[in-house]
Formats: sequence, structure tokens, C-alpha cells
Amino acid sequence: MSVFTRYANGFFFTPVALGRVAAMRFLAGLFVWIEWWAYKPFIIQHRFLPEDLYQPLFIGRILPIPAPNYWIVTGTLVVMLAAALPVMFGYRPRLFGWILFIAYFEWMLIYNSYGKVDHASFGFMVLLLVLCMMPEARWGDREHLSPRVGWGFNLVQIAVVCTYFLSTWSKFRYGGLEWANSGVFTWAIIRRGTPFSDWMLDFPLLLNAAQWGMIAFELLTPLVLFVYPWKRIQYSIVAFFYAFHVAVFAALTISFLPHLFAMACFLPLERIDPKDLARRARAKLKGGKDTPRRGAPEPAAEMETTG
Amino acid sequence: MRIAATLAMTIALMATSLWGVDDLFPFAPFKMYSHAHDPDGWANSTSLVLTNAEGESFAIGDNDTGFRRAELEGQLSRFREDPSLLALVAEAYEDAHPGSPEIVAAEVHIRRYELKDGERTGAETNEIAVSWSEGADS
Repeated sequence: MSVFTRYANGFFFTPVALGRVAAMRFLAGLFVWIEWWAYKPFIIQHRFLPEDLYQPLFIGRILPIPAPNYWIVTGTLVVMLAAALPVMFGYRPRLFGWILFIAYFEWMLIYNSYGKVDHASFGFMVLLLVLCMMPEARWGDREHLSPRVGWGFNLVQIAVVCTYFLSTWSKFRYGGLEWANSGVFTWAIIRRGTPFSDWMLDFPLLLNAAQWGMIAFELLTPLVLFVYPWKRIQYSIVAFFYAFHVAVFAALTISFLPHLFAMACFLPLERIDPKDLARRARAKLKGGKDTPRRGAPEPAAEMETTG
Repeated sequence: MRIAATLAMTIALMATSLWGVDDLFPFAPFKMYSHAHDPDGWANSTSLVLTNAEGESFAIGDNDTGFRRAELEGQLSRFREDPSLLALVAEAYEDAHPGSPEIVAAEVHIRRYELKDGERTGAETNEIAVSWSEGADS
């Protein structure tokens, strides 16, 4: 097998441990539980909007999807939350995964059908879809590897990268080549600035440089896929992505949270085993006297003297 | 087969990025903050101001009615043509806030800030783009 074939094959099908599937199912369900009240609370508020303000999307027009009303919105939410629980804890995760995917998709239509479409959740929807096609899995399972899981997460990763990379295409398409020299960041900060970013309004050159930096960053993101054989480099790049989003959140309070949850599938989450961690924590509490760890030496020492 | 699925998704995303529109959700251009803004022009910020039966006026946030600022901006041309659509938003506000006084008027305000070389000059204007009050439209 030539180097290239091996590389291409590995790109699509490097087997991934099943433990990561369990972790991602938990995270996906967790996000669904967080989003509706803490992250996008206006979606549920759409239940009060009259039908006249509903502007169905293409998919909402070709599929027989009724205009949202009070009970459709509330019902979608209930089904979605109810299906998320078994998915999170690995009970019949494929069956409930499909229910969750469909309910979440309807939820996204309710979200985006009133005059503004947001694009932060494409990767997350792909994640929900591929999780339906993956086998049952246990946390911390690093022994069983699956090329199908590798393919599924690769698909999510490509979707995540496209969200960055193709958003540059949109900038050129809608903003033109002068986007990077325009006042777009000034505009964004005027609209949604924070104490961390308002001062930048006085330094337009800095904002201009940041716009060029943004273009360069987004055009380079596909690298994270191609360096897959070198895990350490890949994890560093992913860490950089998360840092980028922390900075954007500090400046504009825009967080792309579903995107961040989807992106977690780059990480070796199969190494986390909550049961094992709990067992070890318990062991440390009981017999921690002889092995003081770096983590929390002070309280351990206290316990020893009092007990 | 699976490679085909991956390629299909990628190509669909690329094609809709080049030629697609928001209507094609979940595909379509990822166009968050993709419009250029003239550094020597006006930056605007829209808000929706309601007035209740007790004469109080207040700007509402995205969660008060579920009708977000960005959605208002997206449908602004409809509102300009037919200001009585604001009655629907007022109605949604009342449904979402039972017990608070009735809404009798609503206005869409557009505040504009002048920019010069990307800096705010301090000049501002405030336009009332759409205005509706109860009784006026019937």
C-alpha cells in the first residue's frame, strides 16, 4: 500500500475507541439540556409568536412541517429533552438517538424560521446524526476500536472545519475582498461589545489587524484534519481553537457553544472513565495517608491529624 | 460508500457557500459577520421599543417575546411596508408577560453611529423606522 493510500485510508477510517462514543453521547445530551434555558432561551419564547411572523425555510416548505405554535414548540422541547436523557446514559442510544436527532432538527427549524438564520450548529447536528449510527458504548472503553466510529467523528470534524473555512468564503462573497479592511469588527463591538473589547474601538488599526488574522486563521483550519497522524499537533491546534472562542466570547459574548461541543470529538475522551475516577477518588480518601498527591495535599494532611 | 457520504457533505457545504442562501438551512453559507462595513460610514443598531397602557416606554430584549433583534432586522422591510405587524409582536409580548399592563404602541428605533477610519466620531442619529399604536391601524 502506497504512503498516499495509507494516509487517505487513515484520514477517513482511523479506528476510534468506543469510549469516545459514550463520552460524546453524554456531551451531546448535556448540551441539549443546557441550550434551551441557558444558551438560546428565545427559541422557547417563539411559542408566543403568531404565525404571520413565521418565514418557513426551504426544508420547512418541502416537508409537511406545520407552522410552530404554543403546543408544537413546547412539545418539541419535551420530546427532545426526554430523548436526550437515555442517549446521555447509553440506554438504547440508537433508538433514542434518532428521536433526539429528529426533535432537535425541528427545534432548529423553530429557531431559524423567523427572519434570521444562524449557522453555529451544523457540526452539532452532524454529531447527533452520526451518534445514531454508532454502536452501544461504555465510558472509558479503550479496547474496542471501530473504523465506523472513526468515520463518523471524521465527518463531524470536517463539518466543524468547514464552519470556519467556508465562513471565509462567505466573507469574500458578501463582504468582498475588502472585508478585512472594513469596519466590521468596529460594528460588531458597537453592537455587542463588552468591557474586554470596548477599549478596542479606539484602536481601529488593531481591529483591522485582527480582521486579517481572522481570515488567515480560518483559511488555515483544514490543517487540523490533515495532521491527524500527529496527535500532539492536532490536540494543540484544537486547544488553540478553544482559546480563540474564549477570546471571541470575552469580546462579543458570542460563543458558538454547539460548535464547541461538536469539536470535542477531536479529543481522546475515551481516556475518561468516571467510574474509575470515582473509585480512585474513594481510594484516595480512604487510604490517601501514605500517598499525598500534588492535587490537594493540605486537606488530606488535615484529615490525618484530626482523624 | 462512506467516503461518498463524506464527500457529498463537503461538496454540498461548498456549493451552498458559493451559491446558496440562508433558505437552504441546514446547509447554506456560513455568513456570520461576513458583510463588510465601511470604516467611513454609519454603523447601526436596531431596537424595539414598546409602550404600555401606563405610558411607560421600554426597549425589549431578545427573550421578552422570542422575536430577536436580528429577526426584526431580517424582516424589517415587511414591517416598513406594514407597520401593523408590530401589533403581532406586541401581542406576543403580552402573551409572554401575562399580568403586565397592555401594550398600546410599538416602535422600531435605528440608532446610527458615524465612523471615520473605523473610529466613532461621536455623531449619532436615531430614526424611528416603523411605528404602530393601537387603534391607528384598524
